[in-house]
Amino acid sequence: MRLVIGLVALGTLAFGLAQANRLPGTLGETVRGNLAADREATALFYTEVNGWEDWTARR
Amino acid sequence: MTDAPGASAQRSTLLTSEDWWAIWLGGLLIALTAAGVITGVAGVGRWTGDPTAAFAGQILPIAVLGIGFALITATAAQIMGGSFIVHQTGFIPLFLLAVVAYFVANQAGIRAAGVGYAFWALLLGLLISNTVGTPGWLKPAIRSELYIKTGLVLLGAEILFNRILTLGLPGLFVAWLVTPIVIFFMYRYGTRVLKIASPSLVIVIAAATSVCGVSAAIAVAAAARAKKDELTLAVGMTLIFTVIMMVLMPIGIRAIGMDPIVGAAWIGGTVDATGAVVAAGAMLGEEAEQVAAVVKMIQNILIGIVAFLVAVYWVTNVEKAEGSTQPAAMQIWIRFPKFILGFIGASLVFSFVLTPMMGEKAVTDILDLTSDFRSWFFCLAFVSIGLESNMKQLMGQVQGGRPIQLYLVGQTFNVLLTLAAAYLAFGGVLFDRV
Repeated sequence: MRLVIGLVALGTLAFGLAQANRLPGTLGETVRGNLAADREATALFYTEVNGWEDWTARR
Repeated sequence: MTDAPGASAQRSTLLTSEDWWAIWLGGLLIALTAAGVITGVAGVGRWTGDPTAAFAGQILPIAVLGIGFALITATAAQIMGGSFIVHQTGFIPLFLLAVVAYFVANQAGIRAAGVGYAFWALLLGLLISNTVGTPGWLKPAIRSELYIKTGLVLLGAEILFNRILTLGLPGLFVAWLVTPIVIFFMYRYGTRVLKIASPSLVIVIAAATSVCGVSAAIAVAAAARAKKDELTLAVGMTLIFTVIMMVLMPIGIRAIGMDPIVGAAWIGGTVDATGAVVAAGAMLGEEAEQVAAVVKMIQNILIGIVAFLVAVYWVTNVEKAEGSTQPAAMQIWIRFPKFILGFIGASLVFSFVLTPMMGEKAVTDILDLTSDFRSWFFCLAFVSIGLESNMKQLMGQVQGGRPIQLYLVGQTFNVLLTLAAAYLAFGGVLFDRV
């Protein structure tokens, strides 16, 4: 029973987070931006970002 | 089939310790990828409204990947003194839980909100272990240390020291000046002022706050032999605050009219996960996104150095063997977490051997694959940690809110110090304006 309750809670949390782009105004802006650009916002670690070399070259 | 008691002790630690096996497994995957034997790594796809899209054309590749992981980890388990069959029996469900974690994390909205597989893997493991309990047949496959350390050896390959030369002084100033100061401050504050009983908990939280969040927490936890509950607590706090900072920092920077480049450097030095840094930086503009990413990349390079120094400090100070008759150097070597050698070795080989030999493009292609392997191992590790964690013990780590207080005070210090450094380096004070 506790497992079922936990799974429902987990599902609810996942569903709520999936709606984060509907947060009003500036609060949801970053999430909407990530969605629009298909940006990898969850990456823990990576070393390649498009254009970074151009930026250092421009300096 | 298991060895007779004492038999494994007589064999070399090269074959019996998880530290060395992490190096063998990580090295094997790197070698196979670099040699062109492995040309792709299966993964759960992204999906929006149709969950089946996550597995379109991926079921067989994921199954092959799971079987491959089961075979190499079961071989390691067998040679370390466990059972090949028993490990495999438990590994398949463990791998399926990792697939579920990826599946949830890859939903477009959840992914955009910055809540990644590590969070879901931990939560799934915790849910099972604290409701129905972790089944006995699953336990032999729960080798958190092996998965973490193998993932870290693979992560080492991604830390390219040769990049430092091209990243520029302003970024180095922000990332490398502030980070050690924050770690030192948080360690002293946690152990001396808050009097948190476990120094390993303090250093894991300090590393997560000041370097690069979850990756640094994992590396330093392994270096300082932190408990699973301590890592769970540090990672949990980091994941939650990373999302909050990713959303709020660009809003705040724009609200006060700060120079976007200074703001981007500030974000790069303070927001923990690299993906969240890029997302927050992008809200300030394209150039700001690149500045934020560059500062974070420079900071990421510190992960190996910090893990190495923490391992040495732990062996020589915190866990110093009293009354030992062995020479100090031998003691240090025996107690030193060997996987760090694989971690640093992979970094040095990719930075100074493979990149000059094969070129940037070829190395980037290899790292695309090894980073996928690394993510799978971390996901398996987080499911395992969740399955091993007990909520009561986890609550015991909370210690009246002191770890959270440490995180908040440390992060506030980090935010203020990084702001000053970002202004000096990118605001035209110490270096020419970008």
